[in-house]
Amino acid sequence: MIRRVALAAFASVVLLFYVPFLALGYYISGGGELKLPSLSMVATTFLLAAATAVVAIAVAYPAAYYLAKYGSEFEFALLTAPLWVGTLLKAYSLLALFAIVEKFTGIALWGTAAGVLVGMVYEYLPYALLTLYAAVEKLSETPVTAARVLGASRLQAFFRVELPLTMPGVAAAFILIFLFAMGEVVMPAVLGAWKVYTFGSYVWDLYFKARDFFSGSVLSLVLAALSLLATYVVVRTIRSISI
Amino acid sequence: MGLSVELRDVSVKYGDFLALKNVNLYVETSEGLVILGPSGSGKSTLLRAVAGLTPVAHGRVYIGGKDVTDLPPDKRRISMLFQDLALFPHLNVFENVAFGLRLKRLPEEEVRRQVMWALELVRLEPQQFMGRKIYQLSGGQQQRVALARALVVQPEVLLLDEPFSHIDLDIKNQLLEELKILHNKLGFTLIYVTHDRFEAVEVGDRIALMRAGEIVQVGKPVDLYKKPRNRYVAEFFGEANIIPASLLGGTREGYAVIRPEDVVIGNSPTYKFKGQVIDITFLWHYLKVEIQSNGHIFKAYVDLETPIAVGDVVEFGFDAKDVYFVAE
Repeated sequence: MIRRVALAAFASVVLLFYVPFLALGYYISGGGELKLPSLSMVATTFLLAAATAVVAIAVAYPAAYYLAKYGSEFEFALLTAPLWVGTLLKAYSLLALFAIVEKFTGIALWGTAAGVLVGMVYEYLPYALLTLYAAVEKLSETPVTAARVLGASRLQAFFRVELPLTMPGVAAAFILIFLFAMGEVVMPAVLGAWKVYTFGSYVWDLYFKARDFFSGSVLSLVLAALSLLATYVVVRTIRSISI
Repeated sequence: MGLSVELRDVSVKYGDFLALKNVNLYVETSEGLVILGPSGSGKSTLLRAVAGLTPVAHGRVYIGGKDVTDLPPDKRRISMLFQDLALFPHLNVFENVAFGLRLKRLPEEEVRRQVMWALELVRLEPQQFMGRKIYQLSGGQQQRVALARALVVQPEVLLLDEPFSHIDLDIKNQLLEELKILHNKLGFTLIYVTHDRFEAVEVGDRIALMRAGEIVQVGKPVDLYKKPRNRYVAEFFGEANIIPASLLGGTREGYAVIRPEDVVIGNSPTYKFKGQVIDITFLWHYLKVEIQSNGHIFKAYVDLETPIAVGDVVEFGFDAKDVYFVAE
């Protein structure tokens, strides 16, 4: 009985996940001329997503390490709270911040790739934080102790033992953020002022400006497929290097 | 090789809890000392204080006569084996053993030579095991890798924290035997923590018995066994009959300790009792007989051939020279 109910629930969730893709299939079946994005746009998107993941991880790692080893619940809440703030709100608050920065330093971030990067790192930092926190928290003290006794300084113990042991967490954070960032629309739109043009923006424009539902659907599916492929490759890589 | 280890008046605190209370201990160069005690008695804390893994609240720690109290673990010329092995799961056998050597930035050839030496020392065929992942090894093999890793840095002092407690008895005995051989061959000072008195006598030239953060008695196994300082030592270090001294007549206070192998069934020269056999257990090379008498249960080890059965009423006793008196 329980098994059947659970199975039914599982099936309906799976169905919910894939129904939107069926809708895409509906548009694609209508046919039309495929308008491919330019190579430079794809490259921009790819680089921006990769840079977002790398920077977010680099910034989040020490913080996650601190939280996992010494942090209080309050500090944990403080750092993950931005997760519950909407992307658009984050984007507009950054827009205000950029204006202030420009006024005092003369450095213009609005409408630049750097500005978009800042926005995307800001948006995805909590994901890196949570993933890395889980990885560090799982570490037992004994391998570090063993390294110390074998002659490693605290820093050497970190780089030779703790960091490698948390690499699966780092890779997981990378996949997560990279995939999200590949489809990012809001930050390039608001902070990039449509000057930093990404794959996500292009698909958006296909749907809502050009009304080209055929190309939009095909490219959405391509993005989803590429994401799946990237995930597969990264997971395989982690498997081969980790325990 | 080997350096002496000394603790002078060492106390360790975990918050408000005093885990180690003014402990004094001297371990001689190349000696094998076992720290024995039940869980929570502070024996691991003592070891961690020697290793520099736990800050000392009071007192000083010396290794080779040098005050190392304020030195980090990596500067103490020690090595350590842990209960949960603490092998590095992201490294293969070779790299695990090479870990300490790589930190010294030895040339690759030298690293390789020394890793081979260490693996052969712990009887792991290098060609067969070098490239294996840690999870591909059995518990006993993992412990051998951990031992090789600890020995390859040629420590002056080897600390072992219940290293074989998760290992099958047969393999444990084999590893203990090999550890002893390595200790004799390489001459490092060995401090071995365990809660198991059988392991303790296997490794220890001397034994320090602990309770509640204090060392109760230090000495050769035979001294702890035959001349226990108090009831606690008598009970923890082997089986014992402990009875009020008054039961033996006279005005003596305190307790009398008689080891079960000194209890004779039948006619006894000095102290004589009568009681009923309530249990008999076969223990390979002797029988353990429990006899109820005078409100006490006496344990006696007797010959396998002894004609005795549960329910028998027997006379038993022991010689005056086999009775040891303790005050508390």
